Amino acid sequence: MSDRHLNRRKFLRLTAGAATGLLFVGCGAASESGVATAPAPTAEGAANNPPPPATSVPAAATEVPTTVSPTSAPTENTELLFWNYAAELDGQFTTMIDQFHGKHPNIKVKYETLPWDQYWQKLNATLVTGNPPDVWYTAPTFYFEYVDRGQLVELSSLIQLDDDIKEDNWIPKALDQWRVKSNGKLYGLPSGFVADVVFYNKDLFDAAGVKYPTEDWTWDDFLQMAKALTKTGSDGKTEVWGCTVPTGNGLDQIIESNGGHIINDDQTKCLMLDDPATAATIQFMADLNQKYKVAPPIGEFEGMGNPFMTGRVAMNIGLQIGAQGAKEAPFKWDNQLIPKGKVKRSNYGGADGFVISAPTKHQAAAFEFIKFMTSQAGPTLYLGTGIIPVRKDLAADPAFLKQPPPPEHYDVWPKAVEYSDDNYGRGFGEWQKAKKDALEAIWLGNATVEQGINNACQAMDAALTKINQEKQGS
Amino acid sequence: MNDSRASERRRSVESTEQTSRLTPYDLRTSQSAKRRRKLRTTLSCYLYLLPTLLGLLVFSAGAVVASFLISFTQWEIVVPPKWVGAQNYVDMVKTPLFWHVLRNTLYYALVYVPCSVFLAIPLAILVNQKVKGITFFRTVYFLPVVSSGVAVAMVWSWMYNPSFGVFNYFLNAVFGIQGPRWLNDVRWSMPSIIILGIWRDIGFYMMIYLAGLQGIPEELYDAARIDGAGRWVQWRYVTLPLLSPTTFFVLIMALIGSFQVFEATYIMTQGGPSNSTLTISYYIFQNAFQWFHMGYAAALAYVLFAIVLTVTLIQFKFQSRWVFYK
Repeated sequence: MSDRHLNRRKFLRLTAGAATGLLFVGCGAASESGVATAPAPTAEGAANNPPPPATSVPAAATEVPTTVSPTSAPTENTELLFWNYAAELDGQFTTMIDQFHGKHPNIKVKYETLPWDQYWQKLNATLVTGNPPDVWYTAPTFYFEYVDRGQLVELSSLIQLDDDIKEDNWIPKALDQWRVKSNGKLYGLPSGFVADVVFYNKDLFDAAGVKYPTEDWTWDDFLQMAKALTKTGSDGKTEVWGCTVPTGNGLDQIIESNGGHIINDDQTKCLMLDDPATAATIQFMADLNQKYKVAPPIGEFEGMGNPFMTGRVAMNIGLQIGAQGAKEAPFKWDNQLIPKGKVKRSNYGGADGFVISAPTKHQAAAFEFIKFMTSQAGPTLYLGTGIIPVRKDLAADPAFLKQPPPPEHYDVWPKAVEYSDDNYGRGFGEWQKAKKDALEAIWLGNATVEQGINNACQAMDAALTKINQEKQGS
Repeated sequence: MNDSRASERRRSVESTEQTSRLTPYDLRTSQSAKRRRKLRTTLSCYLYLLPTLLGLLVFSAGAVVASFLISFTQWEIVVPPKWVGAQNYVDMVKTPLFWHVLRNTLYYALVYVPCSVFLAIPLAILVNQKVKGITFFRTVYFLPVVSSGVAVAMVWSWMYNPSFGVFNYFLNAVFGIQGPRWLNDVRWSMPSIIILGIWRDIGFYMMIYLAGLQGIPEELYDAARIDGAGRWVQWRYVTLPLLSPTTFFVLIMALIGSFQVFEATYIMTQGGPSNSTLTISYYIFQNAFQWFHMGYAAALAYVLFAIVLTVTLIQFKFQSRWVFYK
């Protein structure tokens, strides 16, 4: 009895120990298997054989001007860790990394995709502990947060020393957006662009007998079309809305295209009260719903995803990447540029791209890698992803412009890049949120335009003061 | 508190069981053997507690201390923190948004807590009836508690849709009235979040009350009936007082929970419209993980902790006035 008792204890102790061990092993294995490691040639083979000539990679053959000479690449064996959040680019990136391995057998790229929700938190955690990925994919929103805190390798000087890479190959807008205002330098290489365009439902245009918008349309045209497209049912309820109220980031550029202002160049102060054009544009947008009733109230399509997909909105302003989801739409649609403003043409746009972490031990290899990812990818890059390439040759490539519709006019996309502007900088997310929360009261009819803008400026200035204090303090 | 009492009780039960298994031989063993056994029992108890304690020490205790220190720094996460003294706390009281957030959180708590308690008691009484298939209803009411909060919030934001949602359809079809715009109206957004919160958690409180109801000895009702008490008097003078420890527990849980409401606002409104549903835990999340103000967020978290602690202490202080233990 007592023996058995002891045995049971021993057994318990043993199993407890084993279970704990298994737990650790299990965790290790789980995180290991969660890693999508791109296949790479063995290190031994890489050391003994010289890298194959660039021409042996078919996709790179069309990219003559930026062929990487084998000697410029680091010769020791290196492993790079690369993080990406854009799951829609997984296939493209995996293919490109395979090609990269073919060209640089001594560099092995460990590739991991993380969902957006966890991406930045995990990235921050690795930066705190000092082992961040060597290269990561970034959105413009966060790019400046890391530049400003000294976490990225400055690339302009590297680009200058390198014969393979020419800034001329980029659409200037994309590079300019990533240049730091204080010194004009680049801390990353943009690769894919997203920009605001108008999605319009051709079936609804046809039914209402309205001509499709042309590139030179104005906001007056927009309003007239929206009026003609809005359709009320026999029960007095609106069946088709002419448009929606644009309340996102892109409202800033629409305001600026009409001569209004949002924020000063140093990003220290709200300028929305400085020019009546700001209030006039906001009034125009609020009127779409409150006066003309051509746009639904905010939240009309709450919980239903993209309002445009319901087929009850004729014109909707949104990022062109929404085209991927809209391909399933049971109606015909196309894209057009956002209407011209009173003083200039402008729409929101921003570039995603590659950055190198400052603490990396493999800076040369990492630079080689992002050079390849932004230049050697060949014309197939970004086909079918809804993303606009930011290299001139790729954006003008017939293969890109003649992708299967919708939209029929892919050429609108590179144009939207040309006209794109942004207000990115440190603390962008915070002051944007402060502004949007205050303006929301206007859209809901809880505040006049004047009150709303006053509140927005107050909230923005408070946020900006804090952001700039921190900037000076750090 | 309740936990430790329960484990004490459990421990005493275990030791009596052990005593009852003792053979005459064991009874003759020396004092030292007894002491050894006692020591072994104590140690094994701690061994069983170890996983929880370790988890607490490794993942919580360190973080609790660290975040207190962080609250006195400007820490932008990816660069080393800088000591700023009480600056974060000073900034906080000077920020109008902080007071707005606090008001929102109190609004939530003051509606959510009483509603939860007052609805959970009748619900528990209902599912305490001895009718066929009652477990089915108990399960149904408990189901929201175990459902994924994110999924629930997404479904509810669709149900709250002003034009196509099921709530306004129902209001229109049955009462012929035009329902509110729910999540897109600053007056209705917080009530919408509260209704969801109550619906989601009521099953949990119901279960606790159910246990409380079934713990009331039948003989007390018998005695009351002999004394001529009717149903109402029985409920008022037997059920209600004996449920008071349960109510005390539910009140504390509900209050702490309501100060931490996050998921629904995160998924459904992101604190909007016009910050009308911005609660303190979501405000902490924004500052910590979206805007690189970890120091400020830590200070906010400690203010939240102080509020919860104060309110809970007050509840404990006044429990002697209304909580009856058998």
